[in-house]
Amino acid sequence: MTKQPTQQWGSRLGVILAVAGSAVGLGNFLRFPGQAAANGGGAFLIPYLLALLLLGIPIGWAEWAMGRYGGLKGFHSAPAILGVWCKGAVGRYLGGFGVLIPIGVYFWYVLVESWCLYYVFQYLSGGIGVDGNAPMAAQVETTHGYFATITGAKANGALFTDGVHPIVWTFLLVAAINIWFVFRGLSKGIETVCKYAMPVMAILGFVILARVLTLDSPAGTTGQSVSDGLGFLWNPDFDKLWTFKTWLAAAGQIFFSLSVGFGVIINYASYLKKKDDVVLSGLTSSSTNEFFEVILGGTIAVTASVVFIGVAATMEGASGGSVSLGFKTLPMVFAQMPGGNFFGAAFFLILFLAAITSSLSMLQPTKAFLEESLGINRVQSTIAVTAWGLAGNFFVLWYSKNLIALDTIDFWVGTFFILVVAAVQIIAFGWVFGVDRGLQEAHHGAQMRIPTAFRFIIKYVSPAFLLVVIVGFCINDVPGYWRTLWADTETSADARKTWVLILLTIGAILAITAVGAKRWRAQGLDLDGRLPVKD
Amino acid sequence: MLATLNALGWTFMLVSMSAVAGLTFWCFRRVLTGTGDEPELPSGLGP
Repeated sequence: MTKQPTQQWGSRLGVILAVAGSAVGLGNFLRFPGQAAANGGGAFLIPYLLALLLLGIPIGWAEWAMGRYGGLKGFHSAPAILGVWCKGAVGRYLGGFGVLIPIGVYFWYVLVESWCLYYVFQYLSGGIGVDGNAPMAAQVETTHGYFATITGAKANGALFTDGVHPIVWTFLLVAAINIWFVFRGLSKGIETVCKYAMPVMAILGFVILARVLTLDSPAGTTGQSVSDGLGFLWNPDFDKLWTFKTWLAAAGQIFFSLSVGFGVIINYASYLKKKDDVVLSGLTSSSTNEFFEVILGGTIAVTASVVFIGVAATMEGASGGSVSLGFKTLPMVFAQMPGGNFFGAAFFLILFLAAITSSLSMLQPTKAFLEESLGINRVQSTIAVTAWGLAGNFFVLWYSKNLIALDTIDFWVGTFFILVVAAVQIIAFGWVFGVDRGLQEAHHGAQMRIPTAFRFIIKYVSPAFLLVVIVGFCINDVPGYWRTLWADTETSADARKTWVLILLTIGAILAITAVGAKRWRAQGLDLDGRLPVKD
Repeated sequence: MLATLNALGWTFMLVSMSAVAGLTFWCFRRVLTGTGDEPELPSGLGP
């Protein structure tokens, strides 16, 4: 089998924007404000920024360093790279979760991305049919009904009965765009998209922010001002800091938002050269994500929502998660806002751009994994990853009732397994490889030093926190979930079918990893991390 | 409970946003200009 040509990033700024683009997603604009409002407002920023400092940034640094180190040994996928860092098969197979997460999340994420583009089209052609002058109950009924129709939440297969719903064609368009840019490769595809999409997102975000901050309270509705909206989100409630849930929510938001433990950074960093900086680059991509989250996410959605539809409806939307706030609540806001169709289109365009820079990052690790494990070329790996992705996409499209398939994959693959991968990575970095050697590795070519305090944080604080959360979750939540999973209901049946999909995906990844390990050994590659890196 | 943005709310909002914006601009300035002290680091290390 011939060796595949190694891909490279076109520029340092390009890789930073690609990682930041992977991190900036719907969660920045919709999940963060909901979490902050529900967990102490401004006071939420205390545990949130601490979690950024103690978990997000250090684990991110470790992931960047691990990726680059693995790339120097000729590996670009999480299983191979974690095999090197963990010195053997255990890390290699646990690294399989670093492929499961991006491809598994892609199964549903690209559908949400297509909802965003569909809403853009709808707002450009007159809106989604919400009458801003109608009573609130009628508006709620319209937005919820519209959302249920385009997602097929009313019944399994709903998008394919009475003809194919147009959202399916939008999904195919979005999937084709994703595949095209991933096929074009790192520099011409992903990097190019992120270099344009990130500044456009920022500009559109500030345009909408300016509009939100200059809103008048519309007569005859809530009577609430922008200051009330900002107060709702930012006035601190210090009592919330005494509940464990607030701290857990803050840490969860950091993980969810920064894409650490996702299997993406480790893949992206594997295309760096030995003397390329990873410390400043990692910090820059993290801070860029925070810029979008705290400044734009912390001012736009919830503030406008409080002004136009009040606190109760806003909280109801936010408590339903990103999807509820974005697709059910905000359309009521745009229906009442002057120029609402323009701002609705602009807002959903931001969400679409945020989503596509993330979804591209979900395909690339899987593509790299297939190429290096099976020895296939770029065209073959693109076809394979397309087929794999579409199989999952259509499963989620079909089992759409109450979005159970989507929620199951999101929770287990996109939330719980991220904690597992992050734990494996930080233990490999801090304990198996050794924190001092790991930091020394990170410092090659570094444009800034990692402060000494992070030695202690990486070795003790980050792993301890992750293990407590994982063990606590397994003790407190898994038994209840297990009983629900085997209940005699249609919802449980759909969840079980989704688990079959997840387990089949895990099985395929493990089998491909085994094939890859055999190939790498035959090629004389250092898959167990026993040899020094060659200059 | 709805209340207009109070002094503590302003403080938390401005401090959080300033910290994030400041860090982001500082990072990008260093990335784009390549300025800053090059740390004294040991040469390459392998396992």
